[in-house]
Amino acid sequence: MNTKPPFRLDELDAGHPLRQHPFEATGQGVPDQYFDTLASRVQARIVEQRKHEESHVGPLISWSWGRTVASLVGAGLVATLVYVTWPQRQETIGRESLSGVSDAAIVAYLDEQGLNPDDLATTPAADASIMDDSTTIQYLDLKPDAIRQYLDMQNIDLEQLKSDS
Amino acid sequence: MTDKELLEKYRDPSSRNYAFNLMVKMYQQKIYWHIRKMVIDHDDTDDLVQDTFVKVWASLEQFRGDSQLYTWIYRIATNECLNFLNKKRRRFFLPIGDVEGELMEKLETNADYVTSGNDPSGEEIQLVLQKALLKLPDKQRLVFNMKYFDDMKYEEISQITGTSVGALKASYHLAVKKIEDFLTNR
Repeated sequence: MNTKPPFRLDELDAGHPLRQHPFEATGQGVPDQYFDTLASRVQARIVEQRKHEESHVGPLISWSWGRTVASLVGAGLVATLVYVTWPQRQETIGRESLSGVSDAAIVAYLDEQGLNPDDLATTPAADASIMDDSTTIQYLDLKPDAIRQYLDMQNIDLEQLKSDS
Repeated sequence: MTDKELLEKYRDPSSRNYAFNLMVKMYQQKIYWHIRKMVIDHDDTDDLVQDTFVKVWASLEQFRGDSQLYTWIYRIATNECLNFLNKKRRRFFLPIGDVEGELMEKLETNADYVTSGNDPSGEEIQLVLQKALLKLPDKQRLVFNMKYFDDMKYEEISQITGTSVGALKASYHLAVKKIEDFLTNR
């Protein structure tokens, strides 16, 4: 059981040790003549600070080896990261890539994708023939009357065309 | 010399240094002990006192006289103290208890008393109070110091800390209660 009477700070008289200045009571004063010289030391610091500010009027960032090396290392790191993480360009599949695949496997794959191998085989031939104007007209399967009607609608003189050609 | 006279001399370039020296001499002891009670160590206190007066010099031109000069200087010193203690914690990622432990160590190292027998000396009792104070949060310790040791009015402390008088009264009451409990149960 705690029989100590409660401690009351406001009941202490003025001479009580706990009323004294804390550091003087424990012998932790200040060095001799500290306060005599403080004002002059503060003034000296102000003068030094002013000189420092005046001598540093110029570019905000000055050149230094450390800063240069750090910048180069940083730039190198960024370049390496970009090189390592840049996505590889997908090249088209060459003939040699498909040389190891059997025809049956290719046909089965095209069937799966809903593509008819016969259509694929005729498409390049059709594309090549369309490049020529005369064959294009053959593919369109137009009757001479239809061509004549179209030229009339466009006000193109058929005789003129013949003499020009 | 009144604040007004001091400031007039400061604004006159021919007497600026004289006025500033006078001001440092007027307030140096109060500011020193105000800071010392918070940071304990003399060297840290010396740095912070000088920083305080360098800032006073730099911003005295802007002082409008809305408050008394000494409460304005106290406010700068108080901010310097709190920033110093916060920086100390941040720099070493220290929890509150570790900074408190460091200050406690400095307190004991600096004390030049000899432990007596049955009856504790005044120095020992004072050291116990200082240890109890280090258990308080920084701002509560600050309020306690200004009220208990410096006998400042709540209104003055309010101007220095920017805290309302009501909150200061509650904070001081709580601080006194904690210290009394510590001293009773030690």
